[in-house]
Amino acid sequence: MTAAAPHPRPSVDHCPLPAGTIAIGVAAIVLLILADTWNHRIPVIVTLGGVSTIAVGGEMWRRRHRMIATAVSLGGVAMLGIGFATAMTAIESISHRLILFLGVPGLALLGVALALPIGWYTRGVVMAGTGLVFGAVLTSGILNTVSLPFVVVTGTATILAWDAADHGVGLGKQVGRDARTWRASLVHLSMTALAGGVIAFGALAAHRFARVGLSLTALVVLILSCIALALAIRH
Amino acid sequence: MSSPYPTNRWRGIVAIAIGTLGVGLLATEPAIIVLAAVCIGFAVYPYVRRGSPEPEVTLDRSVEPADPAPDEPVLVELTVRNRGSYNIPDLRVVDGVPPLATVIEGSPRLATALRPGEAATIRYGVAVPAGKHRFAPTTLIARDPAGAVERTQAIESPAVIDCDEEEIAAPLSTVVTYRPGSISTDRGGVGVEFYGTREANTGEAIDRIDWRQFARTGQLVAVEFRPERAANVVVCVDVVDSQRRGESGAGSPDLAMRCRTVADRIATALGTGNHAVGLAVVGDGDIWIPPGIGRSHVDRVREALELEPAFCPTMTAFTDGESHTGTAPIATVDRATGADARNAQTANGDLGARLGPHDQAILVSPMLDDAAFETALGTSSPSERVTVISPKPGVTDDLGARLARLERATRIRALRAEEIRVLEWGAEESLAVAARGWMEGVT
Repeated sequence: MTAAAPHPRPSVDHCPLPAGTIAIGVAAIVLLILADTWNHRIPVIVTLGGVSTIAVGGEMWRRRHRMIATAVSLGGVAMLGIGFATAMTAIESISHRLILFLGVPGLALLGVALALPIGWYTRGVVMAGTGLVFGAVLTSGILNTVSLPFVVVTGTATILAWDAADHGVGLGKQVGRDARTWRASLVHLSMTALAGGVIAFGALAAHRFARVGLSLTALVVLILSCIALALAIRH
Repeated sequence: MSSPYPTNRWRGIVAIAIGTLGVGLLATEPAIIVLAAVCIGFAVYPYVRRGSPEPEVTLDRSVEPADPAPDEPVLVELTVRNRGSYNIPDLRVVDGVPPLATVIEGSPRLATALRPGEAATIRYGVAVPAGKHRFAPTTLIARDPAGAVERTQAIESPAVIDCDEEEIAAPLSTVVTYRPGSISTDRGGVGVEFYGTREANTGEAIDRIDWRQFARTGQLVAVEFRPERAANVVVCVDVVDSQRRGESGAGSPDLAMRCRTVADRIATALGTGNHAVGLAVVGDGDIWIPPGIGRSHVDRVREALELEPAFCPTMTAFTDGESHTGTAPIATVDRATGADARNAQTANGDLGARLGPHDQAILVSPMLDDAAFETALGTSSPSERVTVISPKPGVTDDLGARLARLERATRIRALRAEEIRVLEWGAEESLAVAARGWMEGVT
């Protein structure tokens, strides 16, 4: 242990790396599934690169390399712009363009919120980012660009990405970025993933059962009953 | 642990479920309706393990070395063990680093999950300035698997880093007692340092006669020396709330701890020098230990400085200020409120009345408000009997802090205009060096 080494600025109020990486990774995987060809996936990959570059810039800023940090972050912002522009211009399919119109900015918002220090707005930006990704999932479901199981799996994964991000923001507020958090993040997300898997499997099984002997109206009534039950439990 | 309180982090999921269902119905799309069912499942998920039992944990701390030199790295290890028979899926630990310590390596915080009997260890390095540094309670925050419910607890794991610097020379005035000590007085008598000569009286002791003078001039002259006497000193510490709450923009818990450190080191130095030492406060509380001598008395004064809540701002922070909101910052320092002006009045009157004719006071205060200032001026013959040691506040650059520093400078100028001796001590300098330099300047 040495006393003289310069210590980076204390990083309380900064989402820890494991939670942030998992959240951004899961959201990116959702978009890669929705963008079903490699041509469509290029904007997602470029945006992911932009988010990573901004995260590196943020870390350099924290370590007081201000000039390099600014240059790197500006490079990351440029990559985000290129990713969005590519999604809007280089993709011929209107439906995929619409999906990426929501998904790419969603991924960028989520990434920027988790890469930079936490402010009062962070939870809102995380919610907006994952909300846009969820919107992309709904759009792909409505436009039938992916099959029903994929809609359910990507929707569940988006909720998982939000949970990871929100958990990370909470950890950042309470223990900061320098603290060891990977185990807490991993256990928390494993529990949510397990719960999500069971729920998604149950929902798909119910749908299969509905196709055999239950009308759509009956299924809707069933779901409304579940909502009422959830509200009853909550109160 | 506190009673569980909700974090409300899953609150919006029901609205998302209803919205998704609406979109699915409008689009008549089964995939979206099934996705709505998934959202409903997530709305119920936080309630599955909501009644999870209260975590039982124990703490074990080690500090190596426990008595370092100033700014020598100290390795702190805090082990948290799950003593219960249930898993703790999400446990956040924030160690109560002493306020004046600087974390130089690692982090005093941890988030982990613990199986029954399992332990996790936080290792971090700190550097501390001279003085005794006591760890504040460690804050633990436990969450259920979904993160829907949180419990907070502050656990004491007592440990002290005792960092000794070279002993300081207490800045004392010339008000002394008749007890032998180390302060050279300004009169003739029995001592070591030459004071002057006078005409010898009848019956003068033979060893007091200057025989060389008698041989040269034939006159009988007696030699006098400066008697060395001990002092009765009351160390008076400013514990007015605003000094610690930072109301003035410049106060901070650090400043309160530095005041305590100064008082502790002065008391130790006075005890070593055979001076009588007492303790008083300006501000909340009525702490009064009359001046006394001996190791046990000095230990009593130091113990009061270490254990009395008035001197330890962080001791009350975690017991009084538990957070009950989702992910509120846990490091909030909250202290009891107090009527500063009334207490200042009380302390002012008390100190003046309590000082005996041969007592002097060392007033330790950052001088961020009028309480200590008025106490200093309210003492009889303050220029002879009061010495002020004033830790300088930090260099926060907001408007409030600048204003507070300006007011402080005005107060110190006013004290010096009354010929009261004021020693200012910056956070970056050694107290011993600052005191030595100041005393050389004064003499």
